[in-house]
Amino acid sequence: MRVIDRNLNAWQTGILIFILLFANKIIVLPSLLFEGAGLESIFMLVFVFMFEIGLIWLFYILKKRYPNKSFASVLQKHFGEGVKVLFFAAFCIFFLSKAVLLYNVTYIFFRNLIYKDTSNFLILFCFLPIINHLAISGLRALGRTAQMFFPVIAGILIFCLVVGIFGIDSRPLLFSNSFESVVLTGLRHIAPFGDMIFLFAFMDKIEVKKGQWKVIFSFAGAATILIVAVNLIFMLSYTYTSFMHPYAIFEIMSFVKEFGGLGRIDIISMVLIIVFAYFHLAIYLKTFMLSFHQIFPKIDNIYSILTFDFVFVVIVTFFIVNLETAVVYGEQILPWIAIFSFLILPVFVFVALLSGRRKKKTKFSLEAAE
Amino acid sequence: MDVDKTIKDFKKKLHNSVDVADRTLDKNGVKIGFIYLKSITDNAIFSENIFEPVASFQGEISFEMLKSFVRPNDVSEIEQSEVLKNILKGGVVIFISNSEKILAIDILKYNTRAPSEPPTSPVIMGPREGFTEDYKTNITLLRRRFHDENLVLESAFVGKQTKTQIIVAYLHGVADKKVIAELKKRLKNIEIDGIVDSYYLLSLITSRPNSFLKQVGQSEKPDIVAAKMLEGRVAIIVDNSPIVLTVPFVFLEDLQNSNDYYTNFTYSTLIRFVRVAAIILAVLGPGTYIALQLFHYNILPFKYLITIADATQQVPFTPFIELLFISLLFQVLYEVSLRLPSYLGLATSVVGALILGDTGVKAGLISPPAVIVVAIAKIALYTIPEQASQITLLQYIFMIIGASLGLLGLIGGMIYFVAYANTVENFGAPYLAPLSPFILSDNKDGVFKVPLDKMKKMPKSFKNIPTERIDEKRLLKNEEKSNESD
Amino acid sequence: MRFFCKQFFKTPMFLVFAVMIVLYGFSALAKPAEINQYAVVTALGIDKAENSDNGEGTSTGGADSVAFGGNILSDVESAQDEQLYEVTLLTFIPVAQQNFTEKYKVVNGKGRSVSEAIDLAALNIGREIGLSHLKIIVLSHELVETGLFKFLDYLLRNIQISSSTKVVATDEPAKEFLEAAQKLDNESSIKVAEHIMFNSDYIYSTESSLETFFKGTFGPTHVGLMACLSAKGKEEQTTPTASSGDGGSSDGGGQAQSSPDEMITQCHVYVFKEENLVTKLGERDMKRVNFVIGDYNNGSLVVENFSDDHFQDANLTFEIFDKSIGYKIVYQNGIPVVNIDTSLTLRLSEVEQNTGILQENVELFVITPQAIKAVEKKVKTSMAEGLNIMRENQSDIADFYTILHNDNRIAFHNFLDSLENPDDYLDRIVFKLSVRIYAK
Repeated sequence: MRVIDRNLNAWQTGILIFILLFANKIIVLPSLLFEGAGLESIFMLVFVFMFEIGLIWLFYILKKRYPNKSFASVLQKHFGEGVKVLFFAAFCIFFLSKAVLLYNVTYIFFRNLIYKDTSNFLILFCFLPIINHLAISGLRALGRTAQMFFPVIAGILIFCLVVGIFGIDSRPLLFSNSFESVVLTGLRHIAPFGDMIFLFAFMDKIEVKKGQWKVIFSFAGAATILIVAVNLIFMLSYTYTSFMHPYAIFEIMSFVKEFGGLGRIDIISMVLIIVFAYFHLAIYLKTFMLSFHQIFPKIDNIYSILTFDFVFVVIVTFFIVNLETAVVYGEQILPWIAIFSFLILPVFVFVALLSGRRKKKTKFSLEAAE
Repeated sequence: MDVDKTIKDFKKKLHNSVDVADRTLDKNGVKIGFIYLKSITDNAIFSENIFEPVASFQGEISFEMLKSFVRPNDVSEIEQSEVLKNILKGGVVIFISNSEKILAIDILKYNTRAPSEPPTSPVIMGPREGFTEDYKTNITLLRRRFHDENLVLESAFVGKQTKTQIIVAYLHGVADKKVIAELKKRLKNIEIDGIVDSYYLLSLITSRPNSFLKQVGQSEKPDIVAAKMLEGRVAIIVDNSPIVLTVPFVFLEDLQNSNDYYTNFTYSTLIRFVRVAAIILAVLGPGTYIALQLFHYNILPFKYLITIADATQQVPFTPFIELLFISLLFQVLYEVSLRLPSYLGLATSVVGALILGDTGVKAGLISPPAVIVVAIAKIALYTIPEQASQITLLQYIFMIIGASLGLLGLIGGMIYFVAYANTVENFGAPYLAPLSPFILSDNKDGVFKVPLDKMKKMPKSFKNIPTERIDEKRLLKNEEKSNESD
Repeated sequence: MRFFCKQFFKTPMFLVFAVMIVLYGFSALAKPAEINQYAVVTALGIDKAENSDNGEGTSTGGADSVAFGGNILSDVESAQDEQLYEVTLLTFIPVAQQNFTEKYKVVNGKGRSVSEAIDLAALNIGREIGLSHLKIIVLSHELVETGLFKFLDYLLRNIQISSSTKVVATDEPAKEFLEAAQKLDNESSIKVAEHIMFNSDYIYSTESSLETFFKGTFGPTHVGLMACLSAKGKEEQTTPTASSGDGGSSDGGGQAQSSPDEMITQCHVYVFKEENLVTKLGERDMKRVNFVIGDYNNGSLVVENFSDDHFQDANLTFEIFDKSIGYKIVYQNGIPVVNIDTSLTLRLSEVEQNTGILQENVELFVITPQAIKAVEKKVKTSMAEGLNIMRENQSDIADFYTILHNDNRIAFHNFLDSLENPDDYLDRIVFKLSVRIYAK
């Protein structure tokens, strides 16, 4: 099967970043954060987001240095084939794990609130063909489709936030949590973060014209503000009962469920969660696919998709099937993976950048000597 | 040249059809033969302007003299191999015994319909002319709109049997050369016995012929085609078809109606939003209704829930069968009303609306909400009649998806079809442009509509040459050219 | 045909579509509407059930209703000593009709837990119970007074139940309350729910939803409020009509005749602290407490026996348009002094005096300075009484804990640490009251 891959422009990249920044952060996370560190957890959220945007900034520097090169070639050039393979293997594991976490959280949401105790199979049947199609259709189609749905996503998000503001009626205790508990809570729930490393896998397929980086950073900034706003509104709406409300973006509409003469309007936030879930999984799969290709360059891309599908189905069917295990998985196993995105990858990128600069200087001095 | 034998040969080649006419004259031993088709030539011109001057000439006649006798302007010297083609195109072919040269005079004439308002795109305030089946009339309608030397009309013939005349029309310096070249290449590569209507051509010049998406623009109105050509599109006029095709095509073109350009821009914007809502309603309405009934009663507002629940209690069918049944019923009525003469149309609507609909509801066979949902979806579909067939297809697909997978499937389906449409590019134009990829300047005449004076830029959704609608450099060049020729 | 086959296998999505039709599409043809499988519950009543009547059908109180229970309690019978719960569900059952009335049934079930009781009720009605449209939960006073928190877990965990669902207590058994409330408006149960919600919203200015109750309970003060309503009236004049015949339900729509004198009346507000019922506050007490809380506006204010140049021994009723409360906190010797500054915007709405004659010189809408003083005094008294109620019951209804914590965390916690019993903090706080009155 032919996998079409053409490039993404700055707007499409920005929209993909916008969408992926929301992954796993507006459903269960706000509830867990508040439970762990109260309203102060917002500071930790903002702090981790600074790292997340730092990853985009790192990508920006790398892309400026190597405008037409892929991340694989950069790694290969500076660290050799072995490191490259290891890195992309880590990418594969990272995004597969993220997909599993996201699927579980959303599946439980669907099962509880949209479908009444439906089978896992039906949800998988809905997701897999669509995300496979999006991956096969290529980055450009994925980017354009995201672009088409962006007004819907942004519109619903803003609507949810505006409506959610009317639901705020709590007076939370301020600064009642210790610094230590805030930091520990942040670290315990760091699993949903670090997705921005997907940019490195897409590196050679992103075309950013001069002056368009601000578009990308604007989308990232807007997403950060909106996510923090969702978290804040949720926490202010459900202070001491946040543990009862695991589906933040859905819950902030709860008090206005009966919206005047319209009746329930929480279906709007359900639509948002569904659209997000499709795009998040598709981006994860696409990143997995591109990373897989770097490990096994001779194997047809379709096998990477099949591998993802198989492993994904096995994990979500047999291992993680309820919210409790999903939370344990997200709190105890996945945080370790964040080390890769927030520590290992940046260190290697810095080394690559520094060594690139040094070589350049050496070359210059040699030329001068000649 | 043996005139009698030649005429006999050509009559034989034309299978001695009843409309083949021939005349011979003997002028001082020089034989002159005429052959033509009575059915498609102007007999009065033939007898008064061609035959009579030759017959009344006294003396020995030569080929050159013959050429000067005849009065019509469209006179050409042709080869033996071109004789049949000229006869079939409505020409009279003249042979003369003292020369091997052959003369052809175009006196094509047949009855054509006068340009009238097309039934598919009437306007409240605006030009009411429509294309006709005669390509020459259609060319005239275009020429009248461009008093400019840059309007180029190129001819081609497609169809082994029909040899249908195709005119490729574009504005030189505006339409992209690659698009024109690609179109010509595709036209050249067409292998078909005949082109009966432009729709035949439509499916043959698309890059994804197996796709259900409409990838070529169609219009019956010269003002629309002229406007599209001004933006750099290429028009394809097909003889015997009142529908002119335009390429490149983007989906949003069908969202635009000629009325939009003849009313206030704010109203046009509003109406375009209504059309977008209508498409969404048409495609997703029935599917969502079934999904809510079968999977998600719990997310329905209570007041709607009790209304629907009470109304559907008496229905013996399951929701999916009920909706399929009503949709099918509507489709049958639609097909019947298309084919029935107009005086029977009223009877059909009475049977459809009153007997089948009202009685069906009263008898408890179908429920009022289902009838309303289907009726709204089917009516909404025709806000964009050009896309009706595609939307109908999608409507049924989403009905099946909604019944099978519920809300999650419906949204997945939407994402799938948008992604699919995003993979379609015809003549370099992304199908969903200027929405995805988002092109801000093109959205001035997309879902939104701004005043004409604000639309100074040429569309970027597809390839064209100038960047501004009024390209000063191009106009200056043209002026210089005309000065030089003076 | 070959073309279609070729296309079919060339495009994976066609295959997916075909598989979808085979797996789900065909079964969808035969799938009934979900609404026919679910009984949509609009109101849920929970009562303590008598152990003695295990396995017996009991009257639900309505003349045309019979309770369930006979066929379901084999498990329950073995557990004679355990606490049983009886749930009463006001359910919407769709019927084929074209007028705008809905048919409701009252369904009962008993079990050792609320969920078991609901499951058993579902068995009796032959439909699954759908709680996603639940608008109100009614708890009997018995439950509220003895052990509310034992079964609240169900309401807390049930994902179908919205947190905005109203929860009220009632003086009579919840079953009777629901039946009576239903008879109030036999046309539509939505109206019953709206009616109840209106009452719970406005009578005590207590929102009394699941969320607000839990928020208070799990908050730092551990104080939860719950409105108590009563559906009482004159003797019932209900005409007995035929029951639906399934032996377990009382029909609502169009059959039961309502008693015109029946109405939902105000009772009081239950105050809980740390899972225990602390007190019942009557209407007047609640109004007093509300004066200290900024969130709630009281509808009216009555100044009794007021005399000045214009009035003699008159009762003045003021309509309160707006109320805002500001808290200013200072610490004196480590003890917090809370200045409660209340601003009220009032309009004189009614004057009742013994003379029965309107004074000629009184401009209709002007509140005189003397009246303002009297109002100030009245409000201050009410506020002081409200604060006393909170102190007496050690229930920080106004959530001074959070106000003080957010104002000066260190000083407040030092103050708490200095107390022998930190729960007594309300007693030690000094309150200073000031009132400003504006006339509209």
